[in-house]
Amino acid sequence: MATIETLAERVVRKTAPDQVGELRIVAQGFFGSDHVRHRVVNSVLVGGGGAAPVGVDAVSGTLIVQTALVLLQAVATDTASDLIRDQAGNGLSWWRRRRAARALHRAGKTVTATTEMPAVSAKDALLLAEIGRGIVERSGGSKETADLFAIVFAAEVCPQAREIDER
Amino acid sequence: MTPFTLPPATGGRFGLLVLATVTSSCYLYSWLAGHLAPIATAGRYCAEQARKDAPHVLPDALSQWYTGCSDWAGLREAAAVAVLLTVLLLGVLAQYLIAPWWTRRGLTRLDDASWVRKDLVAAGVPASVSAFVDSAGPRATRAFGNRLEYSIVIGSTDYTDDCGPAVLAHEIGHLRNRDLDATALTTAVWRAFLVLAAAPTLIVALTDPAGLRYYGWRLAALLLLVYVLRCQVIRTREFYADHRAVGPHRPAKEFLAALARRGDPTSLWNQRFHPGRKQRDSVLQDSGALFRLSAATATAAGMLVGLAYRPGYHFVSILWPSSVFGKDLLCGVLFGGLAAAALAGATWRSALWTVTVESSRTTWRSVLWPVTSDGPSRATWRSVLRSIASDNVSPRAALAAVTFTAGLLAGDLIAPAQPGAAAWAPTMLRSPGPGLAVALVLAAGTWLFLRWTFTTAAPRLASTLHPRPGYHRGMVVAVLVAGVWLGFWFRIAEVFQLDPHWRAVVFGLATAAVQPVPLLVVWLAGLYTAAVVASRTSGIVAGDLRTPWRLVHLVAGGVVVAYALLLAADHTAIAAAIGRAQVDGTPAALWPLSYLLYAPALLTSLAGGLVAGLAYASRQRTGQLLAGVVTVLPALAGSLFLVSLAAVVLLDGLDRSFVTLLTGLGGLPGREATDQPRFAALGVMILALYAALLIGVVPLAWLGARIRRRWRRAHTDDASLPSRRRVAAGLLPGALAGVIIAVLGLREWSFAVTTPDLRLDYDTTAVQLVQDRARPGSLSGGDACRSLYAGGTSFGYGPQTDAGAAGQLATLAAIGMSADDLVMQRLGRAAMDGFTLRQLATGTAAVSNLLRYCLTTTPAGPGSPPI
Repeated sequence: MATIETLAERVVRKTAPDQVGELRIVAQGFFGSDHVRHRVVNSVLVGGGGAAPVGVDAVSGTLIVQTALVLLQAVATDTASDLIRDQAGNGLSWWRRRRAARALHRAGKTVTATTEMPAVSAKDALLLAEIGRGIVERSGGSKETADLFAIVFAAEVCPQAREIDER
Repeated sequence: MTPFTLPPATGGRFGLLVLATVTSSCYLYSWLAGHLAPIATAGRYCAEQARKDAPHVLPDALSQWYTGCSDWAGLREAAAVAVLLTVLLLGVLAQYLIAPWWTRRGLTRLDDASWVRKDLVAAGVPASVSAFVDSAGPRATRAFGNRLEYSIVIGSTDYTDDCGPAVLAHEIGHLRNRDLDATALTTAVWRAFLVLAAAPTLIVALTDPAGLRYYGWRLAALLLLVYVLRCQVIRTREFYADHRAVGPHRPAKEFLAALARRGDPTSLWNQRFHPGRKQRDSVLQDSGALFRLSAATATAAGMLVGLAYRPGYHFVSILWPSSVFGKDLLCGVLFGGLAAAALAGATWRSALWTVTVESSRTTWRSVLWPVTSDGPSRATWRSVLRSIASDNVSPRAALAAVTFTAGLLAGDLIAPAQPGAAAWAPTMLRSPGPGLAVALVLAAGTWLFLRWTFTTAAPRLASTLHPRPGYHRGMVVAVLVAGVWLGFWFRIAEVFQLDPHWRAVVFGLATAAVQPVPLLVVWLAGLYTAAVVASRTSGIVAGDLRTPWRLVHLVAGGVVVAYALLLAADHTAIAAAIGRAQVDGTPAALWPLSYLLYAPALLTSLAGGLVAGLAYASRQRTGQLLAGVVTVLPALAGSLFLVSLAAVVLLDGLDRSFVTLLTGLGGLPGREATDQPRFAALGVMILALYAALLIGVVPLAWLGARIRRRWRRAHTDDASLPSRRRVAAGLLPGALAGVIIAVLGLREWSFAVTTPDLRLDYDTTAVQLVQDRARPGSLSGGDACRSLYAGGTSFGYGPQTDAGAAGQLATLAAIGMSADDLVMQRLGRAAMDGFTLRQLATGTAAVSNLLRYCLTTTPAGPGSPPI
């Protein structure tokens, strides 16, 4: 069975190979500290935590690595359905995104890098991939990168999803 | 040119932000305190207690008690505001201390930070800075922290890609510039202001519709001002950090390319804290923008003075109720000084820019950091002076002066009303002609101040090996000069607010000649200029001689402090002495007073003569120029007398003034008419001053020239002369000025007279006439109060005699006596008794109590704050 870390690496390697090194750094904090994971989840689902007033400029960067980790954690902790319910579509309220982030953070306390990934239905995989596509695009990624991320993510968490997607 | 030669522009902006926050909070808390039961009922308690006691006590005792009770009520409000301000400051401190710790919890500490430490050590930053990676912010590389611990955070993407080193260098730049504390405090101030001042005000305003109408837009304006200043502090620091990040090892182009690879923050919203790429590029290519006097900064500084003056004046009045000139002076030095710190800092940077640009045109060698010990080249020096004299390189002083004035009046317009301190700006709008003249006086004074700062800063920077200490000392003098000057202008504005006509403007300007405050400004500015020029000329202080700045500033600062303390110690007596001398003083009685007031200007002129002589003897063109600079400022003191003379003629009519003036010039006593000030004495003083100038300055200039020639013959090697002795000799007249001021001041103030007991010798016929018209019980309390408000606003304040003033005030007392309210009757009677017994101060205090009583019992009408 694949673990979160190996799946995340496969997603990042196929989507943005130059960010594999970044994944190692981010994963170290993500799985090593509750506070860090909380901030990562918040920055992906709620926004913020990126460009600070004291930063070098206002560029916040594309959240490919962080999105992969957060979505995979949702799958691993069986909170994907909550996430899909709260995140489906783009016109969501800040409050619902916040609620999803809180739930994900609470459930993620037991997750480690070696937690095994459960099976995901093709439908859920596609919905999660769609959420991921929106996040990557909103965080400054190009449309091509966002599409690629969605396709790769769906295919990695559920191989059947690729066939459905291709159809 | 490096922008780090002088302290950066961030400091001044940060000071303005803190001042804006404190001032805005004072307004908001003052209003909130009015909603607290013990504060709101304090004034009413005084009124009710007065009603109970009125049948049993004498009128003057009731008035005295009411004064004490009103002061007590005011102090309660001040204490409540002070407590709330303390909570705000504790909030700022807590946020400053806790926020960095809180942020660090969500970061991943770098296991191997040796490469970061290597860069830190190479940049000269202590290695105790901790390094982190931000997993949640791919590009959120930043430096933050407080004095307890500084941190560098590298964004997860920056950590791994090739633009990381350039970005890290920028952050290390912030550490080198030591701007992290100011940044942490800026953020803390903003958040604390939002949570502890703006939010409670909004909540209370929502429950009070009248308050919301009155305070809503004012709160929005204050919030906007604090927000803009907060953004300005954070944006300005980025330019300085960029300059640290580039250098021979990393050209600006490479640094900007690294930034471009990170992405492009194009939206305006994203640029609220960070300058755009084009702007950063332009400042890196040409750092002139960091050295210019910004009109926006001048506007913000003016607006803050306008906002801060009235709450400051209100609280100083509560703590120091009997002060006449002291309140204006204190407020002027405090608020004007803070604003001047921002303006003068920018002007010094402008001067540095001018000096360096000029030096690059004339010589390859930098004037600021000469390689050899013989100082900057003379060609450069002459070039700089020529540029200043011909105004080729302007510090944009005129624009800054206009925007400062506009900002000050706008701030005054925004500021909520404060009891006891009326707004000037609405009065100026109602009387546009004279109002514009008052505003122009401020603009002209500010322009002169900025030009003077520039004119003294440029030679100082061109000659010093250590620009920063020179800058700091120059700032102290600039702040004192601007603060004292603004204190004087506040006085003019107060007079104009009471009597919005041309005569008040002329009166304000005319009395400048007999007020110590403007003379003190001229003296201080003249002494500093003389010291700056003396340190650079090859006259008395030739060659490598360096002026002992510590001594100069100790002497100047000591004299200013001593003079201010002496004025403060018995300001009422000096005010009374001036008033008495103007009414019935003979020329002989005015002599000591004239010495006291004119000694600073006189002695500075003498010092100017001596230095001019010393400089002129050896130099031709440069010497003439310097001599001109030295003598122009002291000559301004003499110009004040000419203005005074012209004003006497304008105010009193040509025929009568000339007669009295000529009488005075003849050494004869003035006219005996009691309703006319005796300008005869003023005539003698003017004559004496110019005589002293003619007798003193010319021989001193000649003496200076002789000394110079003898020294040149005796000591061919200038460096062998004892420098400290020569400089001490040059500055001796200035120091003597301080000693003489102190001695004469002590003599003059040795006969203390307590104000309430002071009996002025004026005709009480007008008072008697008014008193006879009073009909007790003929007016209801409300009607009487409304008549008092109307009478109070039309009260003429100007060049009038004590008899005239007493007659006008007695009208108000008669209104009080005619009311059907017993307290008003008694207070009116106390006032009338005071005016009849020629105790003007006692009567005026009772009239003030009448107005206070009315404010508590009867609303002042539309437009007043809903307190």
